[in-house]
Amino acid sequence: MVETLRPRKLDEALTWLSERKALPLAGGTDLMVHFRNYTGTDSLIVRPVLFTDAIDELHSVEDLGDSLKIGAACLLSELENNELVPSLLRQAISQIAAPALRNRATLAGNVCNASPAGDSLPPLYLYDSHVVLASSSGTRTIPLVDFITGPGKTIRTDDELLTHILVSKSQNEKIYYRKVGTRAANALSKLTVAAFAELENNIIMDLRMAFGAVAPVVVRERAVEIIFIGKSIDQVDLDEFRQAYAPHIRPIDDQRSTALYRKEVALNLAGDFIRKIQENL
Amino acid sequence: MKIEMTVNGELRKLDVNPLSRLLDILRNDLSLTGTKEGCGEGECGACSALMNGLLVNTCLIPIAQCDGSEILTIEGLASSKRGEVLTEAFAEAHSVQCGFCTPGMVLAAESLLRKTPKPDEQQIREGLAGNICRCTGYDMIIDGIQLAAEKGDGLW
Amino acid sequence: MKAEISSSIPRPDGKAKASGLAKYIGDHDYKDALTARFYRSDFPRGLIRNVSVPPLPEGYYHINYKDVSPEGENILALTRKDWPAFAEEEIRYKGQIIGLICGPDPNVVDKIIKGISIDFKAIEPAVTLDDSLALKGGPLVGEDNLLDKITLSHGDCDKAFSEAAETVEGTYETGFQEQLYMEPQGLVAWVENDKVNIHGSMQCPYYVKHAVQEILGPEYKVRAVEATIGGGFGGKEDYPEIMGAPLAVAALKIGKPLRMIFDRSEDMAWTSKRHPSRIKVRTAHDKSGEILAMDIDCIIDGGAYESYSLIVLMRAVFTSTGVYNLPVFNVEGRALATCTVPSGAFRGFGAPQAIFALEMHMEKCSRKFHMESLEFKKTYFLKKGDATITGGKIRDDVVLDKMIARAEEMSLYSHKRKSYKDQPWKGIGMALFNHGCGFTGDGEQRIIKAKAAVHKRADGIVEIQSAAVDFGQGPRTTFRKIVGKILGIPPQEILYSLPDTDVVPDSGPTVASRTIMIVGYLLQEAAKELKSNWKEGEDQRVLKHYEMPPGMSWDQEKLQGDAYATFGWGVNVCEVEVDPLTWETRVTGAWGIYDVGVAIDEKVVNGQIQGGMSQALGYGAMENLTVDKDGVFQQRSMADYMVPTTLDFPRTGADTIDNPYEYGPFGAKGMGEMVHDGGHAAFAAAVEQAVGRDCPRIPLIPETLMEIMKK
Repeated sequence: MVETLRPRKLDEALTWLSERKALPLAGGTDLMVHFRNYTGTDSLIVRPVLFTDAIDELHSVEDLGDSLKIGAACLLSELENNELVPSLLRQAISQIAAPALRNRATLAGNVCNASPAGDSLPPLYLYDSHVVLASSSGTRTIPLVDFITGPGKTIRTDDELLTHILVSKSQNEKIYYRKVGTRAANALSKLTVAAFAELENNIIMDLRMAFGAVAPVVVRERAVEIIFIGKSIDQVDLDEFRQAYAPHIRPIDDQRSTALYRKEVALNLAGDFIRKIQENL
Repeated sequence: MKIEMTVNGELRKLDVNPLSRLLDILRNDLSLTGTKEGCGEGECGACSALMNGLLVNTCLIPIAQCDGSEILTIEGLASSKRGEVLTEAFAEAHSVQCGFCTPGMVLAAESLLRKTPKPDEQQIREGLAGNICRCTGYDMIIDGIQLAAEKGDGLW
Repeated sequence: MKAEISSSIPRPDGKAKASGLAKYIGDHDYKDALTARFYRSDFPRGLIRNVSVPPLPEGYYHINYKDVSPEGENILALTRKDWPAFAEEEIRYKGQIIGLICGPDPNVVDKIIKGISIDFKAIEPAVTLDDSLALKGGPLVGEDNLLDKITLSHGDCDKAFSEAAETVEGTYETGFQEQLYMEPQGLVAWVENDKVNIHGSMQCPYYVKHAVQEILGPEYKVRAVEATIGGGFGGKEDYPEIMGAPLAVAALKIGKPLRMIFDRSEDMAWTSKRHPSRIKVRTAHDKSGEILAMDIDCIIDGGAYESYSLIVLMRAVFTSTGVYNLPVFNVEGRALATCTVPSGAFRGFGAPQAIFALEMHMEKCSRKFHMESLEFKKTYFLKKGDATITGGKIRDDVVLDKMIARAEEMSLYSHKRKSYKDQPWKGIGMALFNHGCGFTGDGEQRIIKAKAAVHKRADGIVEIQSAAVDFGQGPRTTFRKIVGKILGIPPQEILYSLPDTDVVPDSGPTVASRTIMIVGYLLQEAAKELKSNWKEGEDQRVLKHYEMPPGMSWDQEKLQGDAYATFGWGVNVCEVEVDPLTWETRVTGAWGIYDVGVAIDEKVVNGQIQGGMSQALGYGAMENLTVDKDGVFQQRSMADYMVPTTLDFPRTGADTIDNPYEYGPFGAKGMGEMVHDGGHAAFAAAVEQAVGRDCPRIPLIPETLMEIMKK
């Protein structure tokens, strides 16, 4: 039987984590599936497990003025209904799995799982989110884009716990979110596209776009965004926009979709975002 | 490890493997077999229960996380007034065919009605999106929940 | 006007199931039972040289073909004896059962299985139909990989084609489909007083009894007992035999109760699926477009062993001209062997494949001749007195016109069909079909020989005795209504225990849309006799035997005559919108109107219509199931194999037109399968209108639709 701890206090958690190099488990919605074995047999987890769901400090959403500090134990269903959370992120969360799963799953878990198809990630990338990693020897705050290094891979060390996610409070007017899932609900993503734009007199002041499940990590290209910032939105050529993103969309074939489909549809939706703004001018 | 949890209103003290699934503890240790295993990975909803008032998939919950919690299973719900209204409405509306998904559906309906006592069809569809039924095509399950909401007016 | 009996009652089994009180096999407490699990080949094709099993701790057992007693036979008694219960040397598909490991701790059993290694000589597998046709790796079966072949023809097809002004040709393909009953397969086996008992989730208790009897040999007594069953859809027709036969060998050898409950992953990876099909249809036409002849080449993928392929193929071939009376036709049907899990039974049993090809071809022909498809089809509608494809007779009134009128009224089909011509990305489609009720040919008379009884105890309590199981489709409601109505007893007061082969007569398997029409009729007749002879205070039992309706005839050699005593009929309409950015389809309307004779219970029937529509739309739109280079299914979990959720499809508009059948109880005919026969075809026809292209392949997932549109 593996050793486990379910502490109330963060200090206690961090001390134990550094001693045991334990596996942190929040909602368990990914890990319990990843480590499950044939029905009736024990879990395949062999490392000590640190349950983070009962740590008091990790349950709050703190308003820092222009950003939010979201505790690692906050449930997706809580964030889905929290009006301080950017509506783009809420929209993405509300399309993850189904109500029962969102009642256990956490945003921090979705981030640490680092799946290319993690649906909360594209909006978090758009908002230049950061993660806070704590260990018994201190904390560090890291841009999310640097935290996730590949499918299932992060730079978290064994004695660190992701305690908070820092998200901008921006509520943009022109937002776009589209999940193309394997079915209408309770689905995994074939691909996702999240974007927003800020306009002043039709001039693009800011434009951001992120794609999920079309590359080993979320695709967000500031260099491409910058090409279009400063231009008038009605001058943006849809083909040019698609072409700018095309080299960055590098999907694979798997049991859920094809590379061909993912690429074509990702670019269609990229163009759709611009076209919708142009049509509504 | 030793844990305590309240199941269907009764305090249960158990000595468990902390990584055992709540589903297995309910079915094997507490003989509450109304909670079913359909997939074991949170995709089908057959193992639904309420944990501290929230709808959950019991196949994904390590029992250690249930220490100090309140669990409501189909057995507990069915013996309440609201459960009686729901299960009778399900029988009357033919919301039940093979019945394997049904306890989970009833729990999902209870969770929905607590928030939305008079749900419209779309709200019901959204509330049940994580519960797979392969028999009915869902239409009569929706009818059953609407019938329960009507017959049990004021209960939720 | 609907028949009086149709008015619905609450489901007698509803409350217990909804309350979690109904006991499925996994809910029964077999405390002293050992866990039993199969181990399987980890390669797709070849010859086993040696199986090495790790040392077994005390109390753990390894069972394989050597444990089959000399009086028995290591074979699965399905339609043909070609499939060993335990593989001996030859392996034809990855996942083939080689042996069993049993013991008290599931973790230890798991560890033993993971420690097994198999030494083998590999042979190149033939995974796809094309591989099979090319005899890749050498023939798997016979000299040509043909499991079965049948042909039917009428008139001179070659002549018609040589004289035709136009020909239209199309190839139509359907994929695998997983039944995905919500309760995975599960059985418990034990020996008690020299009798081998099998308890569990099965559609056909007597099939299980038979299969176990064959593997054990004649000196053993065998009993099969039904537990409440969490869905089947055909998936628990063959598999409980495939699972039960080796399990019984193990129970007998070990002498302890064995419990085998599949994990969902094992169930999805290795149990039988619907046969994929590739059907080529050619029609010869005169200048006006009239069909002179139809030539059909129907191939189904049978997988590694025969299982039920011949019967599925017969159903597909006999359904291949659907509701149309065609003057000249030629149909060739072949079931090919491939190195995949043997295909098996799934609601519709060959008919959904055949109807897809036929209806899509009729759509294609109508486009070719610039006719509205419904008008084009109407010319050929079968009517009473017409010959069937097997030279039998349509004996009953055909009420397709009334059904179509009702479908028009509910769906506004023709109006929308016209208006969507000017609206991009919207479409509506209709599919028409019929489904022969009961076993094909004289199977009921020659093979099944159904018996059912109504028993009145001395205390006046009436009990139904039948081997028909209720896996959701409703006999616990409908049988009680039939018997109750005759005897004037409230249906809820009639007993109907879970079938036990030691108690109930063999009323046949719960398959083939036969339960109400065949078994229900026997119960009606038994109840009538009991009523006329009712003696207060006496124990009375009336047993009825099946008799073929008068005038029916069948020649099994020539496949000529009445393949079915009667038919159910269906009209499905489906309406869609297509998103041209993602090629996702959204079903915005679905309707099913049926002739089921008479509905014994309106809600039971509507529940079948709606549930069947959901499965058929899933089949058409989303249930993608593909195999890898080893012939292994790639979508082996509920996260990857997509069945409809509450948000995928809208409510199905359901209705029936009464058309009583003389030899069905209260006029009822079979209907459980035909509700899965046409929804996918109506859907694909709707998508064709929406996108203006041929869509000859399902599932029409967005990836497939994109491919079609980019051509």
